[in-house]
Amino acid sequence: MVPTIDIRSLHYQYFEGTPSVLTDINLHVPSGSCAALLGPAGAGKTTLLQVLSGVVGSQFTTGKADGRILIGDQEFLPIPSRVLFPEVGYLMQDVSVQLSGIKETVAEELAFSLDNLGITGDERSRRVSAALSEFDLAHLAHRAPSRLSGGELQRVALASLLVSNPSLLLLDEPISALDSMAQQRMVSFIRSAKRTATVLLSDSGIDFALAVADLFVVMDGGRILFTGNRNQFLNSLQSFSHLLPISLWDEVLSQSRRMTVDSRITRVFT
Amino acid sequence: MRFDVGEKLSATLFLILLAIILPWYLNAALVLCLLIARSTVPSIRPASQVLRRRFRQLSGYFTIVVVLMTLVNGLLMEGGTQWEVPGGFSISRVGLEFGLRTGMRLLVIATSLLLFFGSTTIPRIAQFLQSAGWPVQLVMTLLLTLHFVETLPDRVSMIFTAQEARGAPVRANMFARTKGFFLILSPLVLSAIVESIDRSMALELRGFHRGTKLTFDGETAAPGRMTIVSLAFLVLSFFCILWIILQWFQQ
Repeated sequence: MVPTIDIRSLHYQYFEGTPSVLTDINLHVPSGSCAALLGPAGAGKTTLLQVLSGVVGSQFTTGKADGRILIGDQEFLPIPSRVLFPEVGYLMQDVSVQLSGIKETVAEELAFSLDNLGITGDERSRRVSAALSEFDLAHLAHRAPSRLSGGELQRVALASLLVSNPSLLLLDEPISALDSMAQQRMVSFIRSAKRTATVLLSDSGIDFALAVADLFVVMDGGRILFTGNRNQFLNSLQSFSHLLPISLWDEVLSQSRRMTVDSRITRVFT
Repeated sequence: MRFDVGEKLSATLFLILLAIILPWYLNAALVLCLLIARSTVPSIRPASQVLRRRFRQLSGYFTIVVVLMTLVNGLLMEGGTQWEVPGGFSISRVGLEFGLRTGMRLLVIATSLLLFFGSTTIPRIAQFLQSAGWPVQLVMTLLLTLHFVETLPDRVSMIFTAQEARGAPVRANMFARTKGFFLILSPLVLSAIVESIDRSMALELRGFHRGTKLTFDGETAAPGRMTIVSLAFLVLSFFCILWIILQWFQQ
């Protein structure tokens, strides 16, 4: 089942007495949609994604949280205290760290999550083969992960997430290190992933988000400043010009902004 | 001849203990035997070109350390026959022997460890620990540490290159290299800590830490079986320990 995400009055601080890294977060992400968390560095985007994945609750036991998180029918008061694997797939910003570092081939790397789930035999082989072909990695199946290029690493990292069939995908700045071809592939991937998963991604610019997201969330200083759909976001863009760098800025701010942006995005990403 | 990880590990333990017992000339012979074995026994050949190069480099460094250690002890210690050397210094036989004894021990221990880690990949070590029933947390910590050690030379080289690009002569000579290494020590450690945290998060996010037994090969991990070779090395190691204890009592 593809989950709905509902966050109510979430506050989080890594240590008691230190400033909150997330303050009064309220967010509703419908099932099967893609929400883009936008904002400058230090806005709290990564922390919010990590809180949702459960890794913050699991690893930072000194943290202090308040509020409520609902992921599908699972309620967490205030935040998940264990990693939500395999329901959640989390793509880290640095994909070289994402890979286990203990597998000798790409195929084995993809099977890592399945091994941890105890999935063996034909099912394991079938899932690995499917992921290899879906991400055009079949020719790299027996190559060492340490000998892959940046774009290949990204594909392996994504494929390794999807083999465990997560219903919630959390992608932390997924295009920060990608060339334009790889960005195109990422757009196609997210569009198709929305059929089987709810997607939350973070980005510091807006071009990529405009190509894939249904819901736009602008964050700064650990707070949500804006939540809205595409039209609402485009209409309010000017208020966030100091927070969101954009290569299409002039066009966005022009009279025919929506049409121009749409046509540019169509040209760039399809 | 093929050795599994358990056999190699028990052989390494035995060699380390043997190094403590044997006199320096037998330790020197042992180092030669290990170097010949490295080229002839497939199981202990370095696993890659990079590891082969590192083995050569580190062996070179350790040999230099042994030579320096022997000379310094020869110069500083007194006793036995004294040989005059230019510059008004004298080298004592007792000092040289002490230096050689300690240095050759170090060389045997270093060569054994280098042969083990050079010929055994991290996944194989992890798999072995897993089948031996080690706790998941311990395996994870060890993996992160080994990964850091494995990537250390590349990290140092990367930071040196960046420093050179900014005009710092960090590779100019031995002194500059040593000074440069101390300067990058704290950023190196900090970056290692940050990466270890990220990597442990990533491993956990991919179900590494679910409380179930790890299954690196996609099958239920078979309980570790002790081979005759492992058992033989462990028995020999036990006798070495006994011998060392007896020597202590006699002294």
